[in-house]
Amino acid sequence: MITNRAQWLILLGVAGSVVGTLANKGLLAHASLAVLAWIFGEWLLFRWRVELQLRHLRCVRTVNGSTSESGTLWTGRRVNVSVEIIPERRVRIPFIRLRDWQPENLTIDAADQLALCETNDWPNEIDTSISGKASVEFSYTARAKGAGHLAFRGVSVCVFDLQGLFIAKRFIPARQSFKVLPTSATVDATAPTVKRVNALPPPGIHRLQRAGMGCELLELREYVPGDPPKAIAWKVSARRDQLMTREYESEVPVRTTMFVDCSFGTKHGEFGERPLDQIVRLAASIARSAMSVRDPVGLVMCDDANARHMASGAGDRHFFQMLDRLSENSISTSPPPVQFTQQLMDETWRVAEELHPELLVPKINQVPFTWFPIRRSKRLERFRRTRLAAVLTELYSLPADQPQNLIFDNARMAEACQRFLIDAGYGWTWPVVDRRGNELHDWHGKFEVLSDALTRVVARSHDHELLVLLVDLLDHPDPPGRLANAIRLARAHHHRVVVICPCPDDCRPGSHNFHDLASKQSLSRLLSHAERARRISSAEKLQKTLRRLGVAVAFASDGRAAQLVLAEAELARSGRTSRVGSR
Amino acid sequence: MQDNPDRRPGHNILADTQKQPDALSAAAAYIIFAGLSALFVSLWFSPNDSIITIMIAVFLMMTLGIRFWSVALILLMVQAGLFLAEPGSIGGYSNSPGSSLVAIGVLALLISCSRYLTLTSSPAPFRLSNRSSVQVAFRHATREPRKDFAEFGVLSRHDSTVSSGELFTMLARTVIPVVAISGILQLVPLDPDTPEIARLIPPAVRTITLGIILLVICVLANSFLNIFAWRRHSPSEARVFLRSELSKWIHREVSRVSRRRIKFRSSRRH
Repeated sequence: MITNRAQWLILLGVAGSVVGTLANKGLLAHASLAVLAWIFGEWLLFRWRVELQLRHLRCVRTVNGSTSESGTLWTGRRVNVSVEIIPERRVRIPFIRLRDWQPENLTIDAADQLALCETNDWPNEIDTSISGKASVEFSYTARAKGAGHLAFRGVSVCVFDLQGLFIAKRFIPARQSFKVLPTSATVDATAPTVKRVNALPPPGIHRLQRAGMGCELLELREYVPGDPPKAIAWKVSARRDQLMTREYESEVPVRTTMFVDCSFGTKHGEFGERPLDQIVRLAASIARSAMSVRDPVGLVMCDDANARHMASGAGDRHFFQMLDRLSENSISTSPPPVQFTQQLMDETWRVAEELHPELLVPKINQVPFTWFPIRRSKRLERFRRTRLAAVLTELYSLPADQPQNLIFDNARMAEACQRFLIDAGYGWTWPVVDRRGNELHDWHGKFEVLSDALTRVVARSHDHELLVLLVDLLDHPDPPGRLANAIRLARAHHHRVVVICPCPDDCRPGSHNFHDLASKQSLSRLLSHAERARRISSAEKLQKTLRRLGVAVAFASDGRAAQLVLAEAELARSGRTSRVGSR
Repeated sequence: MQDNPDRRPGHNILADTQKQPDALSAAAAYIIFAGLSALFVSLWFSPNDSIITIMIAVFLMMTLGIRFWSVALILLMVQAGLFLAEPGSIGGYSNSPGSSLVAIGVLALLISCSRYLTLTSSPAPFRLSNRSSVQVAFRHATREPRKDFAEFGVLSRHDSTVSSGELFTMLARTVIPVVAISGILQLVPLDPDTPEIARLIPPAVRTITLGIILLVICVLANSFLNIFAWRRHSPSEARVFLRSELSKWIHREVSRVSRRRIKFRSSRRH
């Protein structure tokens, strides 16, 4: 691609040559022709480098010391990435900019590279030269933002000549795909450290203060015919002159079942800031805490249409399988259809220019010239859409008549653009996914699925289990809606029920300070305050309604949400109905 | 591996030449080349012509004093100076060593200036609109950080140097085009009788002949490179090319069919 500088120099060179030759100004003609010859020589050299030498570059990326094409990463943990550009033959490129393609689910960590930031603002980018067979290497550290999937695509290459006359963009593919698992936080146990019982049951077994076959004495009662003779308390019977029977406590495992809301509304947003990211992080933390005391943990993932069950289990293997499932369900694979907009088109074009610049070169991807639309800007836009349609047809192996359909059919073009952006690792944000009007949630479908799943789990469960509902209910006008009946059923079976709502900020009732509202002058701040006030009001309403049903409520932004779950688990283990001590 | 052992992330390898004793900073190279080329140009003219002398002085001040000067404007000023200073030589081209020296000087000035601007975060407007170019120039003049420039796709290096090897290539870049053009100019006009046969004035014949020669050279070089480049296309590039060629032939018919189909579908929906 020729730069403006070269265009102007060519124009002046041609003008000078013509004027000098016609007006017999030998010096002017000589100098102007020399300028043209110089630009011509630079163009030859540049094309030689771009067309022939650039194809001999190969990229090898090392992620956390491994060059494998797939692997596993963890959210929030540091990832060391090292990129090496290796020329397969002798090349000479005097000025090249290399930039490792940054997936949207990756944030590049520059905090520990202050010294380097003085010379380079982007650690994943380097300006350099390549000569001979010498390789170039650069490295950076990054962190995965949200659970799901992360794909490194390759290295974006920008080649310049040293005089700034020509510029060319290419892409060296080096694909590596990683599964991103949620990081689980360690939750401090709320269990008392003072010893209150004589016999300690083995890990995973808890004393349930109901009559059973445990070791700890629950009570003494009068003998009833049919009681086993070994249960008779002989000393007490002698003292009272009446046969007395010892009744022991029951020893049971406390099963925790988590209901994870994977509906459309929870997947909307930037990676790391989606409600689903909060839910998944909490689910991992709860599972880890419960499994650390060998309690079995089950998982039910619900979206707007289906519920997928994972049988309860314990141990490291089950824990990692659970993280795997959570990660799989965090991947945004089938977004709802979106309307065609100019922003969607622009974003797709930008990404296509980055990832497939060679397919957008006008010499390769030719556009039939037309005078229509007459307005030049619209005509150029049509040309751009034609080029993009050809690229999408090639990438997705569409039939030969599809480019024309994509050019004229907005719905198909929007679908193809959305697919392309999702494949490029984009999250469900504007313009990739449009909000359904102002409503993000399909409440009807979601409550239907959740109620069914909850009822099924209750039907199969024993008494005194812990049911954790990680559901986004804050935006519902009348929480918990149709879920109330299923919750009542669970409570009737003596299960502990906890509801945890994802929330972008602290929305506990009373956490909003209205006094400093006057100082917030800008409109955006006022809007954000109003939004927060709305959320807090919804949270109050939700808490009030659910407490009436005997359900504990917490919010994901509150650091004590996982602790609340552990406290409820402790209650379930003890068989008590509340923390104050009544049985 | 790279000749340079430093492998720090984000490290500017070209900047390492600063550590070498034979390295010359881009600014110094620019000043030397600008000064020498201005000297070449000014020596050619008569010192008695006060207007030309003043113009050269202004030109020197601008090229040396203002860092971010557009290369095209420099060329325009040089061309204007040459046009005004040189008396028309009726006998054709003064293809003397002096004129070659002036051409070398002009070329050296342009090369050093453009290279300096390219390597030092200049407001080099790569495919920018005029308004964007002015914005970039203004931003650069107010010394805003690099991040802001990058949005406009401007090259940037905090420091850059010109090593002795690069100095040699710069010299080659200045000399070879001048020698080549001198050789071509020797050939023009090809035939002394052509102006009479074509019934044109000799300068017009020279211009046409020169244009044809340069055009033929360009076309040949382009074809040569195209042959090499075409064989190295990837399968996907070849498929896109073939599909676009096909659509060029039948796009009117296919687009008409597509439009009708869409119209029919939308009418059925309503």
